[in-house]
Amino acid sequence: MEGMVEIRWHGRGGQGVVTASELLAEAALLEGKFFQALPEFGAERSGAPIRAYTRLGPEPIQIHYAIAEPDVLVILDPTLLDTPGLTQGLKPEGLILVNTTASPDQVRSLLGATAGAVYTLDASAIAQRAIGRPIPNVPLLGALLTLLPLVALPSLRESIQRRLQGRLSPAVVEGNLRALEEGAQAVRREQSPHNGIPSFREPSPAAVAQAAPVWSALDPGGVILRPGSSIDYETGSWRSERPVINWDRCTHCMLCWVYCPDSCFSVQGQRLVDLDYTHCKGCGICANQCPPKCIEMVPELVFQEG
Amino acid sequence: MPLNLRELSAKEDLLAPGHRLCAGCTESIVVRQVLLAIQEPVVVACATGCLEIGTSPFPFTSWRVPWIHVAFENAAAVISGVETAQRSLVRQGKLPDRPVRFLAFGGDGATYDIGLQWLSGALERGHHFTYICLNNEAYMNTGIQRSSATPRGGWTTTSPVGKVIPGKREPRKDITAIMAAHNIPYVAQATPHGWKDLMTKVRKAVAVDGPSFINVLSPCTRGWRHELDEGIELSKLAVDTCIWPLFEVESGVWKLSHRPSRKKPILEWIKSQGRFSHLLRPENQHLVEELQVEVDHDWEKLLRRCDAGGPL
Amino acid sequence: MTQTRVMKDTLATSPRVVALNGASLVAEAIRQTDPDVVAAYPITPQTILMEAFSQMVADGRVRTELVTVESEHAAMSVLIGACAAGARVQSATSGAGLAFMWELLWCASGMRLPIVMHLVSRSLSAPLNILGDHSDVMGARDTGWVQLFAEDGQEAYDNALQAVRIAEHPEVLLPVMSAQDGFSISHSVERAEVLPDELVRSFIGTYAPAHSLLDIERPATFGANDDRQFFALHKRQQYEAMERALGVVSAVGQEYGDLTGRSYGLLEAYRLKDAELAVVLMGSAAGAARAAVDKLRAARVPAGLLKLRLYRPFPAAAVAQALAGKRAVAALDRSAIFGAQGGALFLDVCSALATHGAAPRMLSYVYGLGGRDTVPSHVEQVFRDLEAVAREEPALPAQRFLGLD
Repeated sequence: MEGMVEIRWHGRGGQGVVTASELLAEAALLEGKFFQALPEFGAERSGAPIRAYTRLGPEPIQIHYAIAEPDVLVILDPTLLDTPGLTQGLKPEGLILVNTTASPDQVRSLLGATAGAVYTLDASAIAQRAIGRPIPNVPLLGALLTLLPLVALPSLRESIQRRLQGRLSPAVVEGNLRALEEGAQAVRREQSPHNGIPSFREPSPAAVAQAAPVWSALDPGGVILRPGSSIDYETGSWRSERPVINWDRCTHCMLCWVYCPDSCFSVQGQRLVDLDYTHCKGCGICANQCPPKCIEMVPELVFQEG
Repeated sequence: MPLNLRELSAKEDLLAPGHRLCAGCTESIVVRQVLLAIQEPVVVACATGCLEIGTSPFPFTSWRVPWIHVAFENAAAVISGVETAQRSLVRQGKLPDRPVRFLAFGGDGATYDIGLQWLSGALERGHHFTYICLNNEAYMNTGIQRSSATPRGGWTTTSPVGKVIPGKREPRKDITAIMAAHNIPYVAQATPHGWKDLMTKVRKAVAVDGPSFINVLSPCTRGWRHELDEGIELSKLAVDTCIWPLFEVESGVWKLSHRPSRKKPILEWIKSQGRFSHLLRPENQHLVEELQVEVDHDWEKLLRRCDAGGPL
Repeated sequence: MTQTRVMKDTLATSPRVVALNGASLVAEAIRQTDPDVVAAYPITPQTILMEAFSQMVADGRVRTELVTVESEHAAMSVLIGACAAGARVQSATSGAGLAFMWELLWCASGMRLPIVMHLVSRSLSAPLNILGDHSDVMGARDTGWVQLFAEDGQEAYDNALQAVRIAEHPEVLLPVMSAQDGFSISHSVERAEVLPDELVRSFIGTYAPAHSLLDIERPATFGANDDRQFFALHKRQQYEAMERALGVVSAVGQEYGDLTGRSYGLLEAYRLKDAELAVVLMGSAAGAARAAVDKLRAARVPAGLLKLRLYRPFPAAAVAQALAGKRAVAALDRSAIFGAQGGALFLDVCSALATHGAAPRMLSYVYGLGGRDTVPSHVEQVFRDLEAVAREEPALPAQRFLGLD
């Protein structure tokens, strides 16, 4: 449709991904525009990567499917930046907005020579200051509207007020409105514009077709014959904090091992020897329960930024 | 094998990582402890719920034991079919006779509510299986709706805190006593914090000749509104406040497994979770007092039952 | 069994000719197929079947573990668990019992478990009615089960034995529902031939599933959840298995005929080849329809009958071939479906004809609801209507009710 803008949101359960896409839709309603906010649901739980889609346009939107070729990508969680296929389908002239402390140029090098123009914002910090919790959705909306006037900022203010008033304390509602303004002002642009070469991280259409399962090759009835195969599914990217063990103080009491929801502690000869960061979701139960307090939870960004 | 963590740590983990349960979920902790405790081969049936969805997204499975899921309400009936098949095939000489333990896992929705008939039927028929309720006190898989295990005063999306109604109005169902009333050989309550207590109970449960039931309190970060790292800590606080006493009913005899040295006030429990935050408002203070009366009453009743069954 | 047994031959290797009702014949078939697990809940008119089988268990005449569950839903749950554990399993139910299983009928077929269920078909409430019609089985027509219909006790018995082979066939691996009409067959004592136990045993063979929950050394996960990518693939695969069942039902029916002299195909045509007017139906009313055909043929009316034995998968090509060139066709449904332009069988016959390029005039009738008898004069009336529409006389209502309009 002429004039329709398609936005794909990438975040984690609990970061307000769905709320962000809906707030924008409600703002569009106030302006008499047409819109659609479509969440994508899977088996994942809180902390797992999720997506949502928003369409905005001057005419009624009659399509109902996932957005494969977005005009805008909003990444609510910087730990998702190394997800394969993250920027897949982004239009060459598209826009990428990322919640991160890193600069747009650093993000560009992380993403590879992808299409689109990169913008960044430390939305978590803004939210932390404004509402006391690092929920990045509202500051990102502020930034997005600065870059692309999909709706006017006052409309979004009103949609936030309508949605939150009565549900949250006046201080939190006010905080969100402040976060929106701050986000609009704090967005950072790339120093050197991209050259428009498509990302090498994106799988080729041939590779996608080859990887796609075929019905005739499946075992009848959906039976799974590889016990414990979920070990191939890495949940380490869900983590925003990483448990780090001070081995000098570890008494090998094994409480962390028996209380780990994700079977991440490896033991050899009755001694803890390793921690499986490919699966650790960073819940921190190990640190909380460790009797000698030898496990520290360290923000993941510390490691990402080297 | 003695119930000692260093010894147990030599055993293979029968629940693989890479499942999609929330960070900080206590359900997988309980499942790991249950599977570590059992020394014989096991077959597991799972009701629809967080555990089922999180551990079996095709083509991945976290289970290293034979596992089946069919529907929400019928895990007890399904496992009773598996157990019957084993009995039939062994008796006919079609399968070697070896000890296999049959487990069913269901959440509180599957156990207290929609699956109660199927569970009751399987217990009455006397199948040799252990049913473990992963009780997180609401329908968490579908996004925190009230169940009959939700405590009075608790917030859920279908018992919301509104202008005129302060959360769930009805007290929770005492399913453990209902299970005990089936006169099955073994019934117990446990928590993942008390890993040794839980594992001891699991070993007793799978060893009895007939059905057994263990109700395990399984804190939920999303539904209870607590921090990701607090699940184990909260399952201990539940015991210390006598919200979730640890006990067992062996061949009809009630025994307390643990008596808190100092019974903590219910207010500590209420303060620990966002689902109760509205109860801290001045206008709801009477509810906190009423809840304390309820907990005291239930605790006294349990003590009387246990005293009648003999000394601790 | 309380019915008198008339022994034709005392040799165990020869068939016995018996006087038994349909329910008892199927109980005998279950005994002879000796399933590892049977789970069932009593409901009229299936009750006498399960009573007869329970007595066989109590007398030690089968090796089956009988699970007397607290509901039909539990019966199907137990069978799904037992079948996934590698057991050969069967159940029996009627009416509301099948309706209560409905959720799990999809689980059984989706998990590709070769469960055999004997159905003594009955109406569905409300109003409450315990008598025979096809409301229950037609309500389960899209659940992924193979569905066989019997005309009499003999066919119910023969279908019960073949159901095991069809279900377990590696090209199929789907549950099979074998239906007989409540009361009119289940409670009617008729002459039937029962095979020797040894012959049944060799016909059905042993069951060796590829995967089992009790295969402890090779742990398998049954009943995983699918995302949007895999769900459609598994359903596509299931569809293919259902299509393959057409050939397997024919082949097993042929093999059964070689053993017993009673061959079975997908359908049975009666004086149909040169007929211009045809009636299509399933179940116990076929006899009344044959009588009507004979009477009309004597009066030079070109009448013929098509009786379907297999309803799911619908043998569309065979139906279209059998009805090719007819001037007018009536489908008779023993169940009412509401809001459609005709009964379920009617719609299937219409689509079979339309997709195969045939276009006779079509009429839809509902008959025999809640135990109503269907007699030859009812079917004669259908042929009179067919004659009328074949002569291009004014169209009749889309849905007619036999004996009521």
